[in-house]
Amino acid sequence: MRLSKAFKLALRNISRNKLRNSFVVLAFILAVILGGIIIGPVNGLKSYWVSSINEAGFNAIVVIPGRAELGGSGYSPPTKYIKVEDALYIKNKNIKEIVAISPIIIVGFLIFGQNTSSFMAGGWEDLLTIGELKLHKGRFIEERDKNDQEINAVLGYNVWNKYLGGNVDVNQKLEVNLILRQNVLIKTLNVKLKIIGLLEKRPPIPGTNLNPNDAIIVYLNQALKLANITDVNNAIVDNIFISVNDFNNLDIVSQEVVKILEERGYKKDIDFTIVSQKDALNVVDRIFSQFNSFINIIWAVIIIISSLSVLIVMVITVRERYKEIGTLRALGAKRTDVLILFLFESLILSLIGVLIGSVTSILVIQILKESYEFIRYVTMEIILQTYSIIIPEIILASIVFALYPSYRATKIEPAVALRYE
Amino acid sequence: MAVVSLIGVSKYYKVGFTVVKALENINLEIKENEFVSVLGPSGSGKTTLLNMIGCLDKPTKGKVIFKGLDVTLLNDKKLSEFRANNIGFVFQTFNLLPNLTALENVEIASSFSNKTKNVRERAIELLNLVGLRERLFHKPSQLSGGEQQRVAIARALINDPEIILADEPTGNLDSKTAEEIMDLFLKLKKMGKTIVLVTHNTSLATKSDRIIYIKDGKIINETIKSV
Ligand SMILES: Nc1ncnc2c1ncn2[C@@H]1O[C@H](COP(=O)(O)OP(=O)(O)O)[C@@H](O)[C@H]1O
Ligand SMILES: [Mg+2]
Repeated sequence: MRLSKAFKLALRNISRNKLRNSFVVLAFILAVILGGIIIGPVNGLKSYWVSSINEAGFNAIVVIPGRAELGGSGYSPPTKYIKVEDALYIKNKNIKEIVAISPIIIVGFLIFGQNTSSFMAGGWEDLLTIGELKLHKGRFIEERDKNDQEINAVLGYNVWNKYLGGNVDVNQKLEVNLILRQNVLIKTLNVKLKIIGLLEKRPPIPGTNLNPNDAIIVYLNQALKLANITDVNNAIVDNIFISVNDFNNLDIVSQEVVKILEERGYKKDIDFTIVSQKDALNVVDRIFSQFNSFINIIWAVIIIISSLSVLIVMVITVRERYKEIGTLRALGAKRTDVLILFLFESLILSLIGVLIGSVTSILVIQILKESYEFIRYVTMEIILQTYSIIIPEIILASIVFALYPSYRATKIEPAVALRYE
Repeated sequence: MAVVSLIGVSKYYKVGFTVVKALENINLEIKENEFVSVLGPSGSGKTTLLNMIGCLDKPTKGKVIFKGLDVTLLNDKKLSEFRANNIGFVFQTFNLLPNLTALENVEIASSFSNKTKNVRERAIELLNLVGLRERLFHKPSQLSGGEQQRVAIARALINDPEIILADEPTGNLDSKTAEEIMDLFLKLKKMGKTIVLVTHNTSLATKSDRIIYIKDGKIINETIKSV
């Protein structure tokens, strides 16, 4: 029997048991939808993390005071706090792989209307290089700002464009309420700033929760002055950012910095933690490989359940067509014809399910995007990439599971089957 | 010239600890363009005999020589191909595929044979021959018993087989329709077909060239119509 004929006949046979077969189709629709919304987002999330880490171009290492577990929630404060003088010391070592270095101190937060995410960061001029910031207008902070009477501020993209409505300009004065970040007391301070620069938009820096778009950046000394700290060198830093000339030198510089800090009496992983882009990538990899194997188990269960529906329905179908199989064999159908006929029938069912499921899954993902932020990273490309894996798997599984009932059909003896009433 | 010869054919079935001798040492020859009726009580081995002639099953003992070829030596695949090209089956319960039209039911049998040319034309021609010109696109459920059996006869003819084997084809039909179906077989005989017909109906059987009486798996009598 020609394959095209067998396919046509199988197609015709499917319409005979619409209700029963629609269960199989439904099982495959659900399988693809589940595969799409489980595996798709996981791939999406990973590729988002990896690409944003890479895209951030963050050839930087970050010194975090205390012990911080990257990718975990553990944090314990240091016994000895890292200070500005430590950053200065590293800077003065003139390590050739280091292209930029700056401590960062968040002196407080600002409120613009409903929005509370803006913060004031003090640092050095190197923040421009480290954060790969681009100026939309004006200039960045410079060392000479530290003695200026006025507080010279560079505004992040969201600050000037969103929170201040876009109608601000360089050299303009800005009056803001700064909620000082002090240990116990919350103190609000009215400060007058002079805008010296406006920043372009840039993606958030991974591994930190600092969004440069929400920042107001001032020179370190001026920021500390606002917080009434005059002993700049002894001020406690929130982080030290160090930019390295090449991704491959991240480890060397990390080791060098660890050595320096240990010489200065800090204990690694107690008083400070060093995080680099490499660590971030490793963590992403580790988390996702665990997550992936977990998801693969779930996926295997989904595939098996949907394929079992084919198996069960085909077993019933074969039993029901017992006499018909005998008739076809009497007319000259070979065992292989019977096998192909039932395999096609199963295949068509799973294909219909997969087809409907693929389309539905895309729709479901679009709908879920409304409510779940992380699903937004599931692009069409990722969906198709996911399909290219799950669809062959699901079809293969359905064929494997359909083999058993189809094989049983080939074992039917025509002389016996025709006797059957 | 014989179309098919059965030489010492026996067919035994093992049922539990006993052996059922469905056929016992059958010697039979069916000549070209012969119309043979097989008569006998229920359980006497008529269907089993037809299955032997039709290469649907293999004998426990003996040989089945079909046009000079010992078909008992063929494997399952070759036997299937052989059936497709040489045998036309007609059953008591019609056995049409319920989801296919009359025309498709006739055509389907050609997909197993090597006679795949002009199938549609030949199928229409055959349905014409059996008097179903107006029923080409009817599903079996939309046809009467007699009409369904006509479709089945057209199906049996589509591969232009050497022999047509009909197992109680009128068993499920009223006597008038049974007569009509018998007339159709007689028409086929006139067209040169070779036919073996199993029946309970003695008056129908008398219209054939030869009647074989079978009982307990043995041929007990044979009458040849005097011309
Ligand atoms: N597959 C089988 N297994 C066991 N016994 C069988 C089988 N097929 C037929 N028989 C037995 O063989 C005998 C002849 O059967 P059958 O050829 O169907 O008779 P008929 O067609 O004349 O009614 C019966 O006794 C029947 O029970
Ligand atoms: Mg019988």
